[in-house]
Amino acid sequence: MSGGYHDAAAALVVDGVLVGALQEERISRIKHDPGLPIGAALALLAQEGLSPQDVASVFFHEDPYAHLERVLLWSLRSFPKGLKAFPQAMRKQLGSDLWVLDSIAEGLGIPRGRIHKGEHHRSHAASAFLCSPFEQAAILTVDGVGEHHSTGLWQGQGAQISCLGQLELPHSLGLLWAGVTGWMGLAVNRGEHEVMGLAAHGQPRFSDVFERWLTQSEDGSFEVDPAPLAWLSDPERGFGPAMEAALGPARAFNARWSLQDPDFQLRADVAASLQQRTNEVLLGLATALHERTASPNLCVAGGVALNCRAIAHIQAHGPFEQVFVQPAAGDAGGALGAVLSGLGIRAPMHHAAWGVCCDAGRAQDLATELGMKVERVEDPVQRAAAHLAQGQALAWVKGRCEWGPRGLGNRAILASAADEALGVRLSTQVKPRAPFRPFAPIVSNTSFSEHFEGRPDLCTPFMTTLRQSRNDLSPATTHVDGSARVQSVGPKDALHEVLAAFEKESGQSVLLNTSLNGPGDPAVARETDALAWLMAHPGTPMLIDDLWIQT
Amino acid sequence: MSRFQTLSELVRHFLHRERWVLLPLLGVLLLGAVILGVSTGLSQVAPLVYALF
Repeated sequence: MSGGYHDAAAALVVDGVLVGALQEERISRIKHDPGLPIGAALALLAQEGLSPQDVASVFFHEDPYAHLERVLLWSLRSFPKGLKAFPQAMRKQLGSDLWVLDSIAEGLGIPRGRIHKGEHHRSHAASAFLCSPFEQAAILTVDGVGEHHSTGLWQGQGAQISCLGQLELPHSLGLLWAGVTGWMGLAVNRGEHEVMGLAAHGQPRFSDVFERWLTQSEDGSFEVDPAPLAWLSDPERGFGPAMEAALGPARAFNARWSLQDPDFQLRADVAASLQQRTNEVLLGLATALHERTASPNLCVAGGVALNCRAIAHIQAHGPFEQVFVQPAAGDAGGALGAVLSGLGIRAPMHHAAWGVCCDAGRAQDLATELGMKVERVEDPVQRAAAHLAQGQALAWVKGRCEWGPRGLGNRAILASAADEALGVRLSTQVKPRAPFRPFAPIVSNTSFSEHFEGRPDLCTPFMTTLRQSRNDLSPATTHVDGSARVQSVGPKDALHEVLAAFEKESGQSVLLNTSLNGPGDPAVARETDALAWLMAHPGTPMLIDDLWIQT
Repeated sequence: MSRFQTLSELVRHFLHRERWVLLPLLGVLLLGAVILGVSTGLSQVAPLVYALF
């Protein structure tokens, strides 16, 4: 399990085999749920016909005592600056975080002795390497902060992971991103992906500022200037007056974005500068790691690993032959890493459908009861393709929900990627979002190279990298700089047949694919979430297995 | 009962040679937490806190 900060999650191993992994938000319906993943654990157990009493061991992804130690140490180190945040930090530590292992035992109703603590970055490292197809690999973990560390260099062999070195606070790429995210008026620990999307609109004219704030040594290690950051004194905002002095005044929190805003270009240029420096530093770290391990394979995990621009940069310019980033590379992934490293097993990941099922029979009963039009279709693939070829959007629900923040083909809003106007309608009416954020394309392995540079790799099935578009046939899913966070699908994937049928109907082979959720909501998991989404978006039909449902 | 396991693991963690210097601070904080818990609210503890500062 992982939790207590953001993106709580649980992963379940039965008899040495990974059988499920699920974020708590999909059950609690609280986006990035910071609590404990009791609901997710119970849902996974129930799906396997098990009860909590059947659980032999629970592995938590970090060490609560080392976490408390870090809070105490930094309260002393930052005195008196950190005094303001100290009472709140201690209330959280002594009120809940310290007792997290007890809370898990109480939540599941099992003896406390079955709960084991882990180590934050080791859990991240395990989540990447033990799910990869590699027998041996270099592993890079980068996030805001674990117990004491922000960054780790590791080596994996078989089911063993050894630490080669770690960087301690305050030198943290994640906390620098958090500070800039706060300066952008976005929620810290939630809006970082928006800053990444914004970067494509800008020019790195603040690169000198970020080179000063983020310096790197020849051995790959880096230092972050703590002056512009306020992760201790003001963790909600994450930045201090020095950042405003260097970059200009911060945006108002949650202010609406407009491409016509007079300061839009400034924000985009700052994002581009941060992204460029991040690319350079991560490439430096990866190169140093390669020199130490001589491995042709790299696994990356931690919140910063979700930065698909940086991953693409490492793939394009780094020394590794293969790079793997699993879909829940952030803190949610810690649950998976904790259980795999706790048990010492490998679970190479070939798909992301590890969550709970959507029950079509129950959906039919509920939809009928709610007065929706329900039709059982003979050929759902053909019906979906024909609908999409007519330039309409479709909500697609099949099988188990995805592991990680991306919709990867089981809970999706689909549309033609060639229809730019439809993309605009989706981003303004169906799934409102900042105007600079692109949608992602989905394409079959066989058509991949026709539309995108390179070939499908270990990251493209999980949307954890990006590629440049080769043509202008997919304007609805191509970012302003020509990049796309493309998902590749093979014959075993649910959407492969739909893509083939859509190509027959329309002559196009790329679809727009975005996760099925409303603004501010987690992605749909079960049939009740799916029908709630449909009620809120009456213009878009939904296909659940072979049920065609309209309001 | 399970809380005793946590407390014992916590003390073991801070008894480590490099960490024992934090024990007094931890002790004061835990004592404050216990007083708050026992007195069931801040109002009983407030006069002591004011006297301290």
